[in-house]
Amino acid sequence: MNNVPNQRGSIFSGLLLIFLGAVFLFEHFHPSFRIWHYFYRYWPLLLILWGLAKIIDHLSAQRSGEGKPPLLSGGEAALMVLVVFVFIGLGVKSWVMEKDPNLNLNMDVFSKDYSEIEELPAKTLPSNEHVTLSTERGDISAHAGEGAGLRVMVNKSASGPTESAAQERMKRVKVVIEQTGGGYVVHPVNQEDSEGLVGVDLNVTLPPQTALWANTSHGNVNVSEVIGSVTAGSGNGDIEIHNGGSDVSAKMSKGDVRITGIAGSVSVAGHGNEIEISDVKGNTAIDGDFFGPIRVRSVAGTTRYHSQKADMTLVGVRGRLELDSEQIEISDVTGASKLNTHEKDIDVENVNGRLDIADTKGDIKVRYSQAPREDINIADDSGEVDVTLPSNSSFEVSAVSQSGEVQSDFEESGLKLTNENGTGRLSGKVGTGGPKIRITTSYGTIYLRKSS
Amino acid sequence: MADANRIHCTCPYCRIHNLMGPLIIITVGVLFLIAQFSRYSFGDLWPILLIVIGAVLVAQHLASKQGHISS
Repeated sequence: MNNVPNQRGSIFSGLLLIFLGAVFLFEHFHPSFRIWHYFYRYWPLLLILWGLAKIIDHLSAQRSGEGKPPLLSGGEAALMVLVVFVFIGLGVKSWVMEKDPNLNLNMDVFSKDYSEIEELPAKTLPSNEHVTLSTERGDISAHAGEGAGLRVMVNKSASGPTESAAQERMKRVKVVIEQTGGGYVVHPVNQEDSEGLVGVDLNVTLPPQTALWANTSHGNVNVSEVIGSVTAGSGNGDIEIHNGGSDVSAKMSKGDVRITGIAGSVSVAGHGNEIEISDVKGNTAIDGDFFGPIRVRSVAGTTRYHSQKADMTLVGVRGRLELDSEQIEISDVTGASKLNTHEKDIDVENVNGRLDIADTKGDIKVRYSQAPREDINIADDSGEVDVTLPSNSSFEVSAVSQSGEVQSDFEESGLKLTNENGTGRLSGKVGTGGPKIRITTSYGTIYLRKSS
Repeated sequence: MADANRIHCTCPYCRIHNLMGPLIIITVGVLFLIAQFSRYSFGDLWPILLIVIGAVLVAQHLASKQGHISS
């Protein structure tokens, strides 16, 4: 038996490797899970893991009477540096991919990309037909033309060590137009071979009265001038839809969405980055987690937004709605507006209908250029609330800041303002009364300002 | 009593330590085998190797050194 207290390795490198492996595995199978964004936000967890590991080290050293491993051994330090570099690398990669989603990062020095264009014989379609366009890899662009013709241009692309090998791969892929019970389906056959997927871009001109369903697993979708309904899906790219005559829906898991000039309703669901929606006659619904910014302009119907961090319902956005991870900006809404969020700053201008805001840890700014006609309810938790109303407004107010004060430019005799024991209260009537304004915050100042 | 030949320590810590090499080889083999028969390639599965190495390191750390013979 050896009585000299010897030491054992730290548990830290083991835990770090398990953590790293799990992260890589998860990232690989959920490409839309932007690990970089999470590392950027949650990297201090690594410090906590380190600390916990050292506590376990300490306890087991105590238990066995061995020497304690050092706080950070050379091997662990190298591993930590490696982790940081790997995450920075992932960050750079996701940044490059966002800039140019079509860039092939599998840098195979022996392979080159080749492409060829092929036109399918035109088909005449009956009016109001359903057309499905789908490809596993490649862009889809569909534009309504004049007449009843369905014209399909196919752009195939494949990589290979030589041009003939690539051409051989492309030759095996055939794009077919099939008539099924539900309409016409345009899709490639044999797109996947042992080398992977052959790129098949579909460039389609179709009759305007078509209902279109377009889906690509890797690539962009671009649709314009289609009068029928449009459903677009992209697994790894952007979606653009312009001038639709009916309902439009987009499903995505990465990339940006741009939808403009839609006579029906718009729905966007999934995960991605930027969203831009403008000039919609119907409703707009956005459901999912988008990194933003999200810009919505001029929606005649109801705009609904639902994500993990915010819920919103705005009736008639004549102006705009903009939101990103930090803040929400809303201006010129004709109807009622309801916002429920946390950790966001909110800036609202001119809501004609009833306004309901619930927020935590964010500052709220509300401005009216005309006297409010409907109730205003603002509930904040740890944040400043700043409400500006025109001097001719009349309303009933009740404002409470639990740990803060209330300041008011309105000094009418019907108002009672107290700032005592750290709690600020304002209540009473201004002018002839009217809409009720209720403001509460747990910590922060409430300003009630008069605009000239 | 130490012989001229090297004595293999049989405490749990050293046993697990000695398992590391074989386990890595087995894992790599199993991963390549999975790659042959499923739609996952080795490129999809390699992080499992990190998890296995990590798990062995953790197990080794937690193992007792009772009866340890150095060298």
